Amino acid sequence: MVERNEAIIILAEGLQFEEAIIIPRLQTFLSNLRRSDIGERVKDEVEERAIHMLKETSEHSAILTKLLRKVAGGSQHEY
Amino acid sequence: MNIEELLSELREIHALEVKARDFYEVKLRRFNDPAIVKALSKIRQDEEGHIQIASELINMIEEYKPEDFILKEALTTFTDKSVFLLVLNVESYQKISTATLKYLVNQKGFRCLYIAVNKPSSTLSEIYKTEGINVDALSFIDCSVMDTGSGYPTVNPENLTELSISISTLLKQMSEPRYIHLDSVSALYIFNQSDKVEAFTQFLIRKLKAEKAGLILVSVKKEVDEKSLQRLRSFCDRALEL
Repeated sequence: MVERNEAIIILAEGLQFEEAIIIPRLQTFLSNLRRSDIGERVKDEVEERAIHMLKETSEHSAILTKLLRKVAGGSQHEY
Repeated sequence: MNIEELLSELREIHALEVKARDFYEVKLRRFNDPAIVKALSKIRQDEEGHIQIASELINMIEEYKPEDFILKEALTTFTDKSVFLLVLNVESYQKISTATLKYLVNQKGFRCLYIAVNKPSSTLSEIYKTEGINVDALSFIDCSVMDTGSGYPTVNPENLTELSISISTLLKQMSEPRYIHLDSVSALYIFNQSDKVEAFTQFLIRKLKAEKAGLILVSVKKEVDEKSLQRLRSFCDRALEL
């Protein structure tokens, strides 16, 4: 069981990691992939899967934001 | 951006996904709230999937060979009895079809009977001259326009019988080694029903095998449905998707 303040720190850390590190990394990769010399067929396949990762990472960010709001605005002392 | 740089980025993404998975793995054990545990477990599971995807993408790019390398490797085995199907993206179609012709004519010394369904022979001749292809080794049958004034026979692409007759006539005038470059078989599907195109292709293959002439069938991706493409693949010695 974790105290409210610590719960906020953990969730914020997760959110920061997803939003500030993973999402920009995937976006840069996708942009570099498009400009690369790799053939179109392989490029399309790699792009499709990287976009899937990006979409799920954005979902994580939304989930963590929702949890953070819940904990920050909640009356419980422990989670 | 070269392949090594892309690989380096993917390895970095892989490492970040591992870090994220480990983070949620450790932190979710500290929570008791069922909604939070469920949400973090779902994220942890997704991160596991991302690690798997990143590993597969690394493998895919490590094993990647450029299209022109794959094409040349395949064409080294092409003989006057071979039948190859090239299934090409619309973006790379002209480049790869031209590279195929250039390799077979300039490097392997084939004479080519070019069936021009997509573009008139006059346009193609100009392109191929610019590309340094030995155009003296080429003969054309024009199916895209009527009466081009080029001196080459013109055939309505709906009339596959006439096309067969023209091929037979011109093939007799060509010295060996020789092959037919059908550009493109997929365009014939626009003018004919699929069973007719497939019967024509089968007939052509039988005829060319008997007469010692190779065949390159060019098909533009998405112009032919998968069922027809599967049938065309089954007729050929080799099918390349580039």
